[in-house]
Amino acid sequence: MTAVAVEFKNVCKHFPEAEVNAVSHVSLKINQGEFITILGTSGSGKTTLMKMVNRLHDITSGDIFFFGENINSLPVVEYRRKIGYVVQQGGLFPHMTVAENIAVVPHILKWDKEKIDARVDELLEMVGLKKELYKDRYPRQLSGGQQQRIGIARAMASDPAVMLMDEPFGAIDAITRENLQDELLRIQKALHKTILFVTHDISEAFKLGDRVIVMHEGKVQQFDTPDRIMLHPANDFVAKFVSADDVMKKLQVLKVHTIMDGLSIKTSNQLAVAHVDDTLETLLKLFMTSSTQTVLVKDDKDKIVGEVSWHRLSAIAS
Amino acid sequence: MEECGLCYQFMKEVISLSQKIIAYLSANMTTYLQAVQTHLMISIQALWIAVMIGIPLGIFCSRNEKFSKYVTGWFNSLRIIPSLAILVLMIPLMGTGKTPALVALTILAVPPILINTIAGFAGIEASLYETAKGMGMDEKQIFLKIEWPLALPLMLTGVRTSAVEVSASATIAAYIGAGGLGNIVFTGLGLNKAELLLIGGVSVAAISIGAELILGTVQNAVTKYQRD
Ligand SMILES: Nc1ncnc2c1ncn2[C@@H]1O[C@H](COP(=O)(O)OP(=O)(O)O)[C@@H](O)[C@H]1O
Ligand SMILES: [Mg+2]
Repeated sequence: MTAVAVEFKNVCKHFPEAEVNAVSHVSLKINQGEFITILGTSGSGKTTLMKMVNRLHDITSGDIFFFGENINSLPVVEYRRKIGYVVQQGGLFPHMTVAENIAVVPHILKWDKEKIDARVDELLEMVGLKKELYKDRYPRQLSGGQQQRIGIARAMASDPAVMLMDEPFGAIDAITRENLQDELLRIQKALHKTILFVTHDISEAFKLGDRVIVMHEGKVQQFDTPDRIMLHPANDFVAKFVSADDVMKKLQVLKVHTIMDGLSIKTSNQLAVAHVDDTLETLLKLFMTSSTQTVLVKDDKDKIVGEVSWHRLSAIAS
Repeated sequence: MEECGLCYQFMKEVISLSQKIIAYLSANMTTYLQAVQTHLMISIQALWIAVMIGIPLGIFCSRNEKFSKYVTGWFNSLRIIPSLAILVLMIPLMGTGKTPALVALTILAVPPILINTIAGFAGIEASLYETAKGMGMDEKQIFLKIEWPLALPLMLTGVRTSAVEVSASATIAAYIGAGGLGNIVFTGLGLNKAELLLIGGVSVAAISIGAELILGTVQNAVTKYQRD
């Protein structure tokens, strides 16, 4: 059984003088190692929900638990150091070099110099930036994408179990964003961080999230896997918001494993092969280019684990 | 012919003036150096006291909007009063001598430092403050590692402005008994001796430029991150 990393129990947030709650009666559990995306339109309460986790906002009513402990019972500054925090534009400190920015938390945790240096090098490598080139640069000498990479490296410096990311790729061009998403997924798979990732971009939420929290007017509308949200939207709002009746959207979001069947045919190397985590869009292209009736499905270890028939895929459209 | 005559006359004046300057300096070197020292001392003292008042007050104001409006309004109106007026106003209040001169110069030096300190701290993006907090810095760490260094360039701009203002006004402060290079200038005015005006004026200018250069170098060093 995996541990519950963050649990919300009937959490509300009311800002003084606001008419309605910014966050309203949220109860949910986030397991350790899960990549959770928080999806909603602007003003739906995503940031507020996230900032209550690292206590940048006080909770109006209800409780949040961090690995079983009520966060209000923990010393706040020390508690925050256990959580990585990344914001839009990286929030890098402009007067500090890349190395100094990454070293902020290790520094306040009073690590010794060698350990900090080694960690900075390791993190730069992890986010794909050459240390010789970037260590001594200032943030303004970096592109937006590079700044975000440093923002992520900095948040991971002390190896926190939980990371909070508030629209980190919001201001970045589409191609760089795709790259950053892929790398974040790679890092998360390797390090099993628990990530809460806020975004208003549906594709991003569904691509990154193991599970997605769909928010609207401060309330959680649905909290489920991308596939289930797409196939079984909880209410009209969710259906409309994720365009669940849009075939193209479904193809872009749904993964091959959701419609995969067990192997019924003899595998032959003449058949095309898709990956379990490929989207149905990719699968469709495969059908069209290979003109077969069946495509095989492999897992991460290149083992064939199932098949998908053309019939099965076309049923998605109906 | 007439032009050349003027030229010749001018050259003669320059040479005689140079001779008088050299003569004065060789006869009164101790007095001159004393004046420079007094001038520097009172300027540095006034600047230092103004820093000790302006920066803490500025930081306090940057955290307290209501108080800030009141204080900046007050100091801004102070800025409109010419330095000579402030110096002269000291006489009925405190008489003449070094102390009233120092007080007047300090009053002149505070506003640029204060206002730039407020601007420096108030100009820090709220998101940076929040990110620092979110990462687990306590108030002291946020102040020392984030706010202070980010406000420093503007604070130094304030100190630079004040330094120039004070070293120039210190000349006039001789009028109420501060001593320093102003004494040489006023003596020159009284006795109609151009060489004294020149010695005094150039020395004051040199001190102002020197202060600019030193503080400019410091400022360059702390704003390295703002350039490519
Ligand atoms: N500090 C604040 N003070 C008052 N109201 C706020 C504050 N922060 C957010 N709100 C309000 O709370 C609601 C949710 O905001 P937010 O969580 O920032 O939304 P999102 O991140 O989904 O765009 C909005 O109506 C917003 O105006
Ligand atoms: Mg937001």
